[in-house]
Amino acid sequence: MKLLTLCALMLLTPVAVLAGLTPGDTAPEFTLTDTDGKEHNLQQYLQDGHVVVLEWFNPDCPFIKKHHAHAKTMNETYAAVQDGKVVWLAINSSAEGKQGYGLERNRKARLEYEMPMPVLLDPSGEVGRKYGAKTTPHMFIITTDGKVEYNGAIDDNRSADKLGQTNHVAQALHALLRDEAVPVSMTPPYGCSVKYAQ
Amino acid sequence: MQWTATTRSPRRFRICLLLAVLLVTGCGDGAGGGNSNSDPADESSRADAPAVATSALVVETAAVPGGELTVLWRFAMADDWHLYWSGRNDSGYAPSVTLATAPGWETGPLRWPLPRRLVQAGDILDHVYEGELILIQTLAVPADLEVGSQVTLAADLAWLACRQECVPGKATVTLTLPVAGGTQRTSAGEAALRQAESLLPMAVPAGGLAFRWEGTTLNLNVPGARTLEFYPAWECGDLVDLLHDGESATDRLALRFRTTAGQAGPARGVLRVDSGGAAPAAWYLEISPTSIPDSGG
Repeated sequence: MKLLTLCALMLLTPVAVLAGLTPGDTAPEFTLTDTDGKEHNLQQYLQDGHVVVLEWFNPDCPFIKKHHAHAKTMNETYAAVQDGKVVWLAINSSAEGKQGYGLERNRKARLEYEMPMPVLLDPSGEVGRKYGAKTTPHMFIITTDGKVEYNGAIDDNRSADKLGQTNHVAQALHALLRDEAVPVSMTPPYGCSVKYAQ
Repeated sequence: MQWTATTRSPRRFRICLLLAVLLVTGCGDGAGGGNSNSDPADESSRADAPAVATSALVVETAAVPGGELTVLWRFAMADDWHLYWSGRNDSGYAPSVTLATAPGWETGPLRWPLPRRLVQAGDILDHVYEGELILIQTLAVPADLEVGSQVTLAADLAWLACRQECVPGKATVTLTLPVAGGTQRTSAGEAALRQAESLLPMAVPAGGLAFRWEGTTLNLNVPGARTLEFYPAWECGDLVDLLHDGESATDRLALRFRTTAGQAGPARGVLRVDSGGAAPAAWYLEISPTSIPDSGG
């Protein structure tokens, strides 16, 4: 018996994009503290000549598990460009009482997921709202001039268990590091909703 | 209405409503990290109660070679949980139905009822279902099936259910039907189909909608409407601000589009029209894009 597929999956590469920070917009400044108590200041990284990747994070979201536990999409994407030029910051905007909140939970998740990138805590959601972060994950790439060069999904498969064909962030980073134009600079992000405070 | 597996006497050749039911969620996270039972923040440990129960109903009593079957796929959600519409959402993804059958079967698209608009903290806008979702699908039966035999269809249903947290789920539903020279709709199937169809969007009624492009803004007017809401399909043009433009407490709605490749639009999706009746109307909206001169971008 063969499989005859049917189905109505609208998981692959939607055409439309969403509003929010658009490529070329100035990235909002922020300073946040990570799970080890270290402060991270966006401006400082940019002044030091880094390209900065922001990943909205919630350790208990199935889509984060897809890319941090079941696959190592984020770690591998980071490792491929880890020559000191790129800084990758995971940011958790879960509010107190909501899924994924808490210092201990995020410390533990960072160890479980073997994350080389720090997890910055934004429980007020102030930074998440400034960026218009909608989902976990939701990815931004900021170049040294402080401009947003990519806003959107990590890849082109919106499911919670399948990886996409194209890793948009890897593609954009490789282009930027070669001083080439980013081929796709905005896509609809996908994942769980960010668990903001009301 | 019977949504559980029921079989009547085969001698009377009235095997009806073969259904299969129920598998639940809570799965999905498999091996990997984060399954600490002591951590209340981990949804893996909260999956004690099913978020979604699935079942299916075939409207007809038998499969007729060369004919059609109508299947209703049902997702029953526990309190507080929601599932996602197939159009544009900020988060989540829509349920899917993937049917494994013998070669020769053809399937029509899933038909989706009107969802509701859900805005969460952080201006996160989704279109969702609560309580119950029934998707309607038509299957074309192969012409070479043998009358007197039985046919079994297995469908894999997958979904993402969310409340405060999100849980992916999947289930396999199996349907077994007799193959016969003739068929009829069961009364329960007919009633369930009518009910499900009543929730589907329909074509815009003649004279029901006026629209006009004004630059990159599409102005819609539904005389007599009290509120309007627009739910864009993924294929809709890029909207400037769906959160604020997408609903109105008047009979007018102004949708601002971004210009892409010299045009704004198209407007594709569903328009919810509440004119004060018992239930809102839902219309499929399909308005061609408008050309935007270079200076007007």
